[in-house]
Amino acid sequence: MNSRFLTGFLAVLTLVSTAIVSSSPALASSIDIKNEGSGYVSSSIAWSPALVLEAKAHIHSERATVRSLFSNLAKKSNVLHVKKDKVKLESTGSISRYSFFKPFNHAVSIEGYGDWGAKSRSLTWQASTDADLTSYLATIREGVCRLSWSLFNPETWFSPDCRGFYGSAESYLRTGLIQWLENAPAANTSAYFLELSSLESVSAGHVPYSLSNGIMYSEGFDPIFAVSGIKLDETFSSGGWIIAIDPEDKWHFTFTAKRKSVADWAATGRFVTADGQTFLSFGQ
Amino acid sequence: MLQKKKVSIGLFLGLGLVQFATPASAAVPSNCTSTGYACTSYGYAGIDPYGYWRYGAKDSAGRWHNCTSYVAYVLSLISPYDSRYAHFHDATKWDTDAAAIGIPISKTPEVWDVAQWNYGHVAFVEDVVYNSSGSVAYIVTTSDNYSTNPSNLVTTRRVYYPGTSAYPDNFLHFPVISSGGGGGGGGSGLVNLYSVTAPKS
Repeated sequence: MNSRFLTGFLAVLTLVSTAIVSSSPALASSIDIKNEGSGYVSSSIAWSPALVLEAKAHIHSERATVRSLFSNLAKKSNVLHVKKDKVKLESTGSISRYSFFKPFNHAVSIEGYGDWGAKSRSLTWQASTDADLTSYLATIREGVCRLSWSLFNPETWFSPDCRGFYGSAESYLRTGLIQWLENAPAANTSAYFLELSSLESVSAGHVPYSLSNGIMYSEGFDPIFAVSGIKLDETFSSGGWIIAIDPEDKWHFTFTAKRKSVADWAATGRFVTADGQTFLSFGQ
Repeated sequence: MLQKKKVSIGLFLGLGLVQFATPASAAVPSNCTSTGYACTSYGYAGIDPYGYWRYGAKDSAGRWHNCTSYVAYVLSLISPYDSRYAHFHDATKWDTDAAAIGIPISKTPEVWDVAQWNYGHVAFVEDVVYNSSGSVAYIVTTSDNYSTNPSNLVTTRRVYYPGTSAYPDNFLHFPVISSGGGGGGGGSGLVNLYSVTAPKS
C-alpha cells in the first residue's frame, strides 16, 4: 500500500515537474500554449497491411546489405568477433528511450580472424550513417560467429553462423513515426511559429488589435499577416489551432494546437520517393 | 522588378570566407516575405544534404522544405559536413541538440549563427549590426518556413531588435570554414555569401 502511494506520488511529481520544465522562458509571457495529446508511439498501433508489406520489403534490402558485408569479410576471415559500441547512435531523441530500439542503437565493432587465429580485419559497422533511424534496424549480434568452417581455426568448430539481427516491420514503422513526430513541424509548435511569435509581439507590447468575423488583425503581427490577419479558429489537414482571449486581460491569449492523435498520424503513413530517396513519411 | 540590395559583406571565394559585422550607420534592410525562395540566399530551393527536408512540406515544384532544411542547407555550405548535425530534431529542440554535441550557444549573436526560437523556428543570421556603444542594434535573418498551410511556401528576411519579444531565444555558433577546404555539399556558385535579393514587387 505504501509503495503504491509512493508510486502515485512520484507519478504526480513527475507530471508536475514535466509541466514546469516544458514551460520554456519564452512562453512565460501572456501566451499559454496547449499542445494536447500524447506523443508516445505504442506497439499496439494497427498499421495498414499494405504499409507493413512495404516495410518488410525495406527490411529485406537491409538484409542484403548485411549479407554483402558477410560475404566481403569471408574473403579473408572465417570467424568474426562482434562487440557493440558503447556510444549510442541516437542519443538525444526520445527514441533512445524506447526499449525495442535499444539493441539497434549502437554501431558494432567487428574483428575478423582467419586460420590459426590470425587477425585479418577490424572495422566499425552500422547499417547507415544516414539519420533515417529506420535504417538502424539492421545490425549484427554480439559475440563470436562463424563465416565458414575451417579445420585450422578451432573457433569455427562450435560457433554459430554469422547472422544479421533485424527489427520487425512493425518496429520499422514505429521507428519512422517516432522520428517523424519529433522532427516534423506539423507535429510540433514549429508549424505555428509565425502565428505564435505574432501573438507574442502583440501580447508583450500591448499592441492594439481588432477582431472581425473571427479573425484578429494587428500592426504588431508579422508582415505576412498584415492583410489576412490570424484566424481565431483554424483547421487544416495536419492540424490547426484555437486562440482564446482572456476576458479579464485582452492581451492574454491561449493558443491551443489541434494536435492529431498518434493513431491518426500513423494512418497517414506511406512510403515516398523524392530527390532520389525512398522514405517513410506521414501527414499531408 | 527584381531589386538587389547588398546590405552586408560576407565573401565566400571558393576556398575562403571573410565576414564583417555592419556598423549601425548602414540603412536598416527592409523585411522580405516571399511565396518563393526569393528571401533566402545562396541558391537554396528546398532540399538539404542533412535530410531535414523530409519533414517539411512540398512547394509547387514538388521540392520539400522547412526552416530546418534551409538552415541545414546553409550549414552545409559554410561549415564542414558533420553527420551529427543530421541528428537534430524539430526546431524547438535545436538548442538542446546543438548543446549535446558541444556547439556553443549564447544570447549574443554573431554573423552566420543559427538563430533559434523556442516556439519552434531556426533562421540564418545574415548580419549583426552594432550601435556606437558596441551593443547589438539589430540582426538580420533569412529563413524558410513550414507555413501553417502546408501547401504555402513562405520564406522571409527579418530584422530583429534585441529586447523585443520577437528576438531569437538562442544563437547557435556552429563552426564555420575560416580558410581552406571545401564546404561540404552544394557549394558551387556561391560567390557572394550575402547579397540579399528582394522579392519581385
